[in-house]
Amino acid sequence: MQILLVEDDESLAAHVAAGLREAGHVVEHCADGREGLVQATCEIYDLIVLDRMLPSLDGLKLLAALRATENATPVLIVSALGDVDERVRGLRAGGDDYMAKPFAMSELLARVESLGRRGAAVAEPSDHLRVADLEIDLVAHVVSRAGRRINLTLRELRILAYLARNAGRVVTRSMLLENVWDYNFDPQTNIIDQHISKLRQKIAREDEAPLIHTIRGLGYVMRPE
Amino acid sequence: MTRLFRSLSFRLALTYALLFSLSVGLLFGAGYWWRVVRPMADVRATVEAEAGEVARIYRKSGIAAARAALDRRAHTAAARVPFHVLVAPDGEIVAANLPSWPPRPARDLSVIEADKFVDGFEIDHSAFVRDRAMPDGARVIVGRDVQDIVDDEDLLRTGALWMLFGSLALGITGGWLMSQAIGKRIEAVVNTALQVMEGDLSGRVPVRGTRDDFDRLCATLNLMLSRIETLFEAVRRVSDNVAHELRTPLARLAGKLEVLEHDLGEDFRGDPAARQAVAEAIVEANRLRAIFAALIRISRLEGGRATVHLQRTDVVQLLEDVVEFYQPEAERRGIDLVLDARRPLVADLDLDMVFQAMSNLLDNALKHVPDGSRVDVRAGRQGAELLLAVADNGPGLSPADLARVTEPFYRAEGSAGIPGEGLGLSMVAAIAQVHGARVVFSDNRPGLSVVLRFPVRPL
Repeated sequence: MQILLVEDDESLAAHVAAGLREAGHVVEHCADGREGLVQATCEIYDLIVLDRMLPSLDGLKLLAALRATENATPVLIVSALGDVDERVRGLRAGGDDYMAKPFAMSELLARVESLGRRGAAVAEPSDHLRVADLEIDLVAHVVSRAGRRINLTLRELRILAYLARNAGRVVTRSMLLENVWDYNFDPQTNIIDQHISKLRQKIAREDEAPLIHTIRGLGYVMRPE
Repeated sequence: MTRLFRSLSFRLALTYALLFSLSVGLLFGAGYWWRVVRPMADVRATVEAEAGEVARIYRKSGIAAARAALDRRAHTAAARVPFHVLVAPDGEIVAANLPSWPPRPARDLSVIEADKFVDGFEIDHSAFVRDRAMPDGARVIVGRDVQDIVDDEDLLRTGALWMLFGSLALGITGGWLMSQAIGKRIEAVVNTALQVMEGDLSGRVPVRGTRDDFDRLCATLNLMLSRIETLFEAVRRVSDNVAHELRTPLARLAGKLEVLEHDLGEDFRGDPAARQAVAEAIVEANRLRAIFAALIRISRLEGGRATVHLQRTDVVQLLEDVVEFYQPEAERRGIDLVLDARRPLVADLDLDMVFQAMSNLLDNALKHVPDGSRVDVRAGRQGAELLLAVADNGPGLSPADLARVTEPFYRAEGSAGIPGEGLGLSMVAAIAQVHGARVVFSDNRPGLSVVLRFPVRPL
């Protein structure tokens, strides 16, 4: 993916750029807000990673200016202003995702993957998802595995659909929380794990291959084994 | 009206008006005694003596002598015009210079009308008379003119009434105006204090520049507020800087740890103990991040810098969602997590914040109760309040802990070994505060009950 990184902290930018390049992305870096806006409008990127506090032009203003030109490039906002209210502000301003500093590189990569794909997938809205022998019909709210119907709650269906849309990619706990629950909040403990473990029990009988895998210290990935 | 009577300035003005009326009363009382009571007593003594004398002459020398004595008296020049009537036992009027008199003698002295006509003009006179009935049926009335005293008495009475009325009216009006003027200035102080309490530390009491007591008070208050604001700003700057300055190095630290973990894992040189240590270091870095996030959020809420987005909320839906979020964890531990709330229950709330608060309360409850306990989530209206409650039947808290649970980093006795930083309930308290709600912790006998009491604005 072609990624524009707008970040003024040199050390952090170098670290992030290195991580993204290692994952196979092409990264261009700007350390200044105004310069970043020019760069973002001149070239076509798959994704912009944007810091909120920038010299010469604040990240949110940059974003507003960008959206005003009807540029719909996915934007991942990265900020030291990490609280939930700030996240809401960032998303309202037109950001597609919001991450608080400090973040784990792996978390950033997972989100970058998910956002880049979202950009590409806009053309093909999928009411139907399929991972191995698991089928999800989002319109009829029907989930079945190898022809066997599985009863899920609405929340479980949403978790499963999110995992399936990102099949093969790592989904972090925060990503799940932000996309499946309609509230911006910060749970004190990893309650999500319990939801996943219930869901796992429902979609895989003992004789079936597990579809949801835990990535230690990071999150989950859905893939046929 | 009760507010007016409660106001100190009004009560002072009223007291002053009453005291003033009292002194006016005393003044008029003294005048009355001097100009009415004393002269009347003098006249009374004179008239009594004269009446006694005439009666004595009548008894001793007969009606003709009495008449002569009365005539003589009438022709003697005196400050007070003398009046008399002499009626014979058979009813014949022997002598009289009074125009009229009462048909029956009065027992004591009395004031009667004694108007005179001079050249067609009526001159008012009042006579203070002694009316004596003789044993043989004759009647002797002797009196003196007291018109001047009667006039003074009238004047003093009317004057006293008007003065009393006037001073009371002035006192009440003045008191009302004064309490308005003072009330306005006190109101300004109260409003500023409220504004500051709501988090706007830039609020100041207006100073009029009249250099009066109130100006001095307001100026001093403003100095105090400025001092508080400066201190608070300093604390805020420090904590903001700490948070921001520490976040970036923390990000670098976490990044470097990740690189290290990656390297140790990839070429199999790394020994498992080192990998374990790095993994634990990453967990600790994440914990630090979480603490920072929570601290900054609490400080923004408490500092009044968080924007509250009130929206019409289906409270039951919100509670269903938060309960659903914790249900799998409750099931795993065999805890009965029960929601008791009936629709319709609608209020204007910040959805995300209240969800966060309820989530913290549930998280807290689930952490502290043993497996197989019961946790109740209840919601309802009570008068002008919306109540959201989380109650468990776990070990509960001691009264000493109940008072301190919302302090940041405070952890109750017996919570060692339970994960958490002691920030969850501080955040609940901060969220309640920005909603104008109260958090009430109480003993659930057994267990802990936490109730959020939101004031309900009319929808």
